[in-house]
Amino acid sequence: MIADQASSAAAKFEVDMQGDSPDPDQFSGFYRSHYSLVLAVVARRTIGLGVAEDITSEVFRVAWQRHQQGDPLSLPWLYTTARNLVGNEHRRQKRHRSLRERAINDLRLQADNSDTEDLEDVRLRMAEMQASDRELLQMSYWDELSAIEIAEILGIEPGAVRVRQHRARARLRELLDSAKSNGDQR
Amino acid sequence: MNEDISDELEDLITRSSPSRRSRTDPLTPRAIAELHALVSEAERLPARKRRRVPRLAGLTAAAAVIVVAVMVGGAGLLTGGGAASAAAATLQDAASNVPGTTSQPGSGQYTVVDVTQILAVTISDFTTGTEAAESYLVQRREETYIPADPTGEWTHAVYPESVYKTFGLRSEELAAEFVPQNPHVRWSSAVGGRFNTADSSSLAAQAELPRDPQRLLDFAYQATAGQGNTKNGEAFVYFADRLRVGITDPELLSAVYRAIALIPGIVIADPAVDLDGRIGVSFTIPADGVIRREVILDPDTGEFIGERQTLLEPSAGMPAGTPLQASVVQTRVVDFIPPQD
Repeated sequence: MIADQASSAAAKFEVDMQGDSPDPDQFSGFYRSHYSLVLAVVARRTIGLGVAEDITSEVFRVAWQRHQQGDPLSLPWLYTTARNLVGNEHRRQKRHRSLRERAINDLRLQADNSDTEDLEDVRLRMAEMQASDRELLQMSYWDELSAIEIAEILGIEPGAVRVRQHRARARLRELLDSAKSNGDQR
Repeated sequence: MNEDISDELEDLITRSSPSRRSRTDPLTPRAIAELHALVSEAERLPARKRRRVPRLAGLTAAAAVIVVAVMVGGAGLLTGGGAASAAAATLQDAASNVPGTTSQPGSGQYTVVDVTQILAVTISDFTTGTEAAESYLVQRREETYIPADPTGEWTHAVYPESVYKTFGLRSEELAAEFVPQNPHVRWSSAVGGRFNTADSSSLAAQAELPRDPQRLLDFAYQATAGQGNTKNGEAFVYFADRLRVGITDPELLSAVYRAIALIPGIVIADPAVDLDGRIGVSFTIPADGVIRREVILDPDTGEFIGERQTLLEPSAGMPAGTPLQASVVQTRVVDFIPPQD
């Protein structure tokens, strides 16, 4: 289910964060509001909770530095920084696998053993999707981001997010149906 | 696509997430510790904590044909940069989060302090003329049943010890020779918990300890005067010993955390320690030596998780990183003492 309502407290807080001098209390509030989200986002894209926690620490260390410099902090900035650091980690671990192979393998490795074939199939088909569509579905359904939050991160209108979500779901449905009929024919 | 199919697809995508972590999960102890470290130390800390390599103090074996010794002692050392105020802040947080009341035993019930330990046993065999020492780790478990009226009869159970880990063939042979094969639980009882009146760290002796943190720390300094390498290191060991035995009074537990926070030089050793599957923040006093001693707790709940001593250099057949002692402490209320075999 898509988280349709943005956290108004967090959104308000982000405005308050745009002060000139570092404020440990304000930063603590920001940290407590967003740490679990960043950890969850990173954990879905890396292998091993330890790695995810290390990257999350790095995100907030950079955030604190930014706050000390008087720069504003926001959820879109956090999310983008987290994704960039995850990308760095993937590049660091780059071996001789194609991006697609890596995406599929990573998802398989992280998946719960109790998962059904259906869920495995959804992950495989998502790995086949265009990156922009996959990202949108992951942000909506895995990261529990609201349309308003996604709109802020992508720099588009919330209405456009909903349209893209609808299209991405339709493409995923096509891929799932196509894979199923191929499987049935075999 | 009709609405039902769409809902089903949305549900499938949501459940296909490779991690069950959620944005609404509570902060982990590591996250809390890191937050404290950031806001209180960030200006002075380097980007990453770095470990210094400790100087080997050397472990000398006593002059005996065979010596069985559990190595205990002062803490080792770990971080550069120091995070004393972060450690103190986290300990204060933990102290505030200790529940004001814990489940107290009703009439006829007992509070059980359940301690599971990993313990290193070192055996020096001088008969070979080489003073070679070999070690193995054992696992043991003890329970203390404290009656609702603590002046009543306490019961202590020691479960059979088992070999936890060996380090090569000789270590394996020694473990087979020395670890008791007796499968029976050893039971003992004592009025008012006075199993061993000489042991000031016993549960029974805790009633006498001050509840004011500064007075408690002064008490620890006094009790350990002249012992160990450093005054602060010994005070830390004093508190670690009491925590290992188990503390049933929340007021005292809170006071112990606050007293540890007052010890100069206390630092966070590791913001996310996994002790027997339970995650907590560990604290230590950095000091030169080959053993690091830590107390581990969950700052979010104030729960004491355990205590451990880690070998920082290879010694007596054990590699660096070996737990010389790791204790996990749990407290619960039960209706009866199990039948004694």
